Amino acid sequence: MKTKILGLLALAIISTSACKDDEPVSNTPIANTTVQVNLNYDFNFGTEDFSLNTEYTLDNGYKVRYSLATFYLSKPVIMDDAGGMTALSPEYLIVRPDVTMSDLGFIQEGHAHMFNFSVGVDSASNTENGSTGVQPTDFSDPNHPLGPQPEGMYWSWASGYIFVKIEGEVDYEGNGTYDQVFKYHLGTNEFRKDRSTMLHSDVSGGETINMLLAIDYKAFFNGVDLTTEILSMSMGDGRALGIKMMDQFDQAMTISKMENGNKNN
Amino acid sequence: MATKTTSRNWKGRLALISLSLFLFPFCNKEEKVVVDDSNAVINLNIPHFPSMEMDSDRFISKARAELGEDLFFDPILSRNFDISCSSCHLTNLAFSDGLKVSVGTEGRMHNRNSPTLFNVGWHPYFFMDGGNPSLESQVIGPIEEHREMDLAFTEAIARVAADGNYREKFQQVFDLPVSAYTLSLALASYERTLVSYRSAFDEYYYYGDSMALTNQEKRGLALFKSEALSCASCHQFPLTTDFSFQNNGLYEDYTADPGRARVTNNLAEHEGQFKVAMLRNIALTGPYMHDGSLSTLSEVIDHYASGGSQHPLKSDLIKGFTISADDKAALIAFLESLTDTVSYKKVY
Repeated sequence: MKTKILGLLALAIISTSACKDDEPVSNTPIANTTVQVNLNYDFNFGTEDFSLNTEYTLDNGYKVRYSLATFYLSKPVIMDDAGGMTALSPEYLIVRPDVTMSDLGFIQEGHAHMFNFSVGVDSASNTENGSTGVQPTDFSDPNHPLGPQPEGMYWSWASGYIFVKIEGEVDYEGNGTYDQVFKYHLGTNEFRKDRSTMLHSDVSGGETINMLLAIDYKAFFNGVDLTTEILSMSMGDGRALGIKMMDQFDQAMTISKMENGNKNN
Repeated sequence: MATKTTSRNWKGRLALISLSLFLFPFCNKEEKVVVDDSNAVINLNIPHFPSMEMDSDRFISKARAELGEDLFFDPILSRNFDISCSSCHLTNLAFSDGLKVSVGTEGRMHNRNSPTLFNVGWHPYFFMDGGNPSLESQVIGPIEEHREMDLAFTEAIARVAADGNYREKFQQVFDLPVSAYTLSLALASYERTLVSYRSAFDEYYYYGDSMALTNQEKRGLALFKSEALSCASCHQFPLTTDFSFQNNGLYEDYTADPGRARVTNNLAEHEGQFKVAMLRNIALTGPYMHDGSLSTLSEVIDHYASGGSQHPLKSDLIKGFTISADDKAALIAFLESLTDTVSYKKVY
């Protein structure tokens, strides 16, 4: 009997501990009424798969090689047909070419009308021009997207996040010798791009909404003169080119709903 | 490395001097700080200064400041381990470097003069163009800037975290590991302790010692405050700056460095404007101006006496003036009286 009681007690302790570990946090599915939201990525250079440090050829014969292509995606939300917004999580994402998918958490089943997000960081968090907001040094969590990043996604001297950072080299003659470096560090509040896509989906608990964000890094250079339009830090003399390249990035990006009906069981 | 050794020696010597000079003459003054517990909060209370504003988690303690001091003098924060913060902010030069423009890793030339760090805890924003709002986040600037230490901040954190001694100290001081938050907080805490407030001018002006200034220095002070010269309009007491951004008519063309416009992208309103510099310890912090283009205080006075350039954004206060050789010498004597009695002083 004593052994049985001890056994039950042990079971209760184990069960309680397990429950604590599994305590639901926001966006964790409850019963079967929640819908998983995933954002998938597809990075290309025209018809080829895109990756860093790989040589590609533009239509004019220039060879290009990207060494950096990182951007901030922020404030993803799903809007229902009544205009209600469900904020997805995480609030900020760093997107690099080797990322294939971001788990954006869960929404309640029902009608998912539209997916909205921004490329860049919202003005409330971006400490542009010395205003209040957040800075990388506010974070002790090394994995927080707004903390310091290896590629340096923050201008400490201008106190703002770099929304899109693209760097690489161009070989004009295609002779194997890279002639010029290109660098586009794009940011400041004016540069933020708000994007959305219609979902028009009735989703039930246990299902998954999959969306696809695609970027064509060949299209990024459409209409760009790579002999002169090679450097912008978004400030001063480089601001006009910065604005142009942010528009190029925006136009090179497409966002759509993926047709699927994957169950999330 | 040589620079670091020199700075360290200076620091050691001057720290001892400062400790004795600081504690003995002023041991009954209310601003004296006595700290028994290295983790206790240090409240800087300097009667004639405004209070130093900071978020509650960014308080100063002896332990935090000492950890920041170790980092400040350690070349671990530069890509090639060849320079430290102290390479451009030397203790014996009131934390400036005596050069026209600073020299970073691999001898790379900056385009700006190294500013003093004294009283940096009172700055409402950082860098000469004011683009950064906190002493903590500004530390990323010199660490990552390719003409300074040229090290990714993430790498700086990783290096410090890989050092067992630092790792242990961070845990002791913050009860947290090395991170962007704690690394920047340690450096900022140290910098907040760099306080200069007890010059001959202070003794005369705020502490009632009528003999602290010579007659010539007193005449210089009167000139400094005069409407004709208008120095005190921007270099306001007690900190000797109002932290405004001003175009002081140094150039007609600011293409090389647009100043405030670099961060606001507003050339029409901000071209050539720089944060008004503190004048405390000014005799130690030459060359002068944002680019170190004026070598001496005499040249600086000549510039303002000339009325400067015709740049459309030049401050209305810079109209030019006539000054005799005697008055100029008096004005310089007053500026020299802003030198602290001890050039390196700990407040803990």
